[in-house]
Amino acid sequence: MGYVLLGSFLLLTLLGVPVAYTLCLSVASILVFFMDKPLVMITQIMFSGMDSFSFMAVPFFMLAGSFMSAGGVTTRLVSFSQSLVGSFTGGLAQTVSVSGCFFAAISGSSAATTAALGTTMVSEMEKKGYSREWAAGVVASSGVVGIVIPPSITMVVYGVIADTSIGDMFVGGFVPGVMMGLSMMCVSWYLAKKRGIKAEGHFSVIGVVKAFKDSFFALMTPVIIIGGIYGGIFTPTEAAAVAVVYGILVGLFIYKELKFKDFPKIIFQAVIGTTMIMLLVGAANVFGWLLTNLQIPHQIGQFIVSITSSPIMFLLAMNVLLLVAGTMVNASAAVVILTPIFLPVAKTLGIDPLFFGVLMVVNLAIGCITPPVGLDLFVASAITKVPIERVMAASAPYLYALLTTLMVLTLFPWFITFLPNLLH
Amino acid sequence: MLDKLLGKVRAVLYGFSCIAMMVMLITIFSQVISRYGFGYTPEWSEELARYLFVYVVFLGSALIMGESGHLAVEFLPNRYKGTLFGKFLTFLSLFCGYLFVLILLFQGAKMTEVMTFQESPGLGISMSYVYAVIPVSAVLMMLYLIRDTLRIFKGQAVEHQDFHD
Repeated sequence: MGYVLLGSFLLLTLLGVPVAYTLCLSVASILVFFMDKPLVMITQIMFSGMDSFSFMAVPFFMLAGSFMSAGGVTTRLVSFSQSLVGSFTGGLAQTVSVSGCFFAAISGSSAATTAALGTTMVSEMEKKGYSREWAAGVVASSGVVGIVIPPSITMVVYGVIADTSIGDMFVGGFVPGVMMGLSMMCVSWYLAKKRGIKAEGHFSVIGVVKAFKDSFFALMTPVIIIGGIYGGIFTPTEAAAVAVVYGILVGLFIYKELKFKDFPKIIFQAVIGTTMIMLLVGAANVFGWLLTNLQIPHQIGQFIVSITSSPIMFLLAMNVLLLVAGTMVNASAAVVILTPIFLPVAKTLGIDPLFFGVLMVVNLAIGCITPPVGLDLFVASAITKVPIERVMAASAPYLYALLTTLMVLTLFPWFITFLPNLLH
Repeated sequence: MLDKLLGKVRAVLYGFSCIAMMVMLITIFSQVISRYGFGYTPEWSEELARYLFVYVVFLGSALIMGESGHLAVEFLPNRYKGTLFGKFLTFLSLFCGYLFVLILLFQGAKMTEVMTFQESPGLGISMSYVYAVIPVSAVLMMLYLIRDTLRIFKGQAVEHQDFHD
């Protein structure tokens, strides 16, 4: 039965049938042909998977990010980043990576980050002597921290499914996200040295202070969210709702770039994005229910333990699997499907669910720029009109840097866990 | 004819989902305000937001079938676009779509019927009103599937663009 379930799911999914259908249909086939249980279980369990207060944070975090970008936050964050690192060697490429980190702190997704950076930064980089390919590569790579640095939609999804504190996940993602940003900055510095891009302008404290003042209200968003959750003031869902209202107010009254006529479009995008994830959540809840019922995670766990009982080996194998998964489906979808299967295994091996979750998110984020089908590569290629193969080649150095960071995080869980532990 | 109907359906779903989303937002935000301002949380507020959320997700699922299609691994379909195998893949997706929608339609209708007398704890409404969104959105999804099927038989390509977060 287990083979039929997993086999039919994998086969149909690889043939391009939408994942929500394949999850439900593979379960339906087992219920009808093997178990003689009523099909109404499918809709019931699907409903109960979606009917969750915590998941409501997903559309709210999407809305918060979109309202902020429509309200003119992007340009201000970019100028702030430029005031910080623009005077370094390869300053503009550095600026892209730093803006990526800041933007990630107000939005919960990586394609949004990539798109926002691509439209503002690429032409400017070209003017200053960077090749268009390079610009596309650094934009694609800098987008990936979007789901690692809090707030993160993918972490909300993992937190609910794995029954792990969303606040802890957010705080745990902070250090890895910054490490990823720094590793990409090192690559930009090295490439700029090698390709003879001169440093421009000089660092000025007054400039930094001025740019900081300008983007202050945007930078307060993560403070409100994380501070609110950790201070016990509100739940993650409420924090997300507060962030949306805050974003609207900032856009309307402080930056004055948000227009009421943009509202329907912004909300509608969040509807589509949320639905896409939540239908999957419902369907995966059905799938996970049957998996547990058939004790499949337990069997997979035993199988893995029979090969190796070393958590490190397991995590390395997971890294490969997740990178591949991250190239094929979006990160939240991969978390929805894979967590019920592999989290029990991780727990058996004594791996901390928080660490496992953050590592999973980092992995899936890097999957977005892993050839041949990483999604951010396509977003960057679409925005910059650089052919996809050349975006891949240009982002390769950044990919290597990120993979190195991933290795460090896998071998030293401390980087992920120390901050949440410190705050407890 | 069908396209005209679907145009109207889209307009209604668009309006409804945007309004529902705003109501959710306002409900949750005022819940925070009332908790700190008045030291009181109404019993129904969280439930209202949750049920609206489920409504948005199911109706949005119908909407997506007319916009970008549900999330799928597009590697093989993109690669074999235009070939016989590619056609087979499109048919397979549609066929699975019909099966999925039929399950939602019949089992959702069953839930709606059975739960008439069960009341929700906070709002005190019959759970039937909540579950009804499942068969209703299944009918709408069916319309989109029929449109896609007709398009294939007329030899038009089914337009789906990529969409992800």
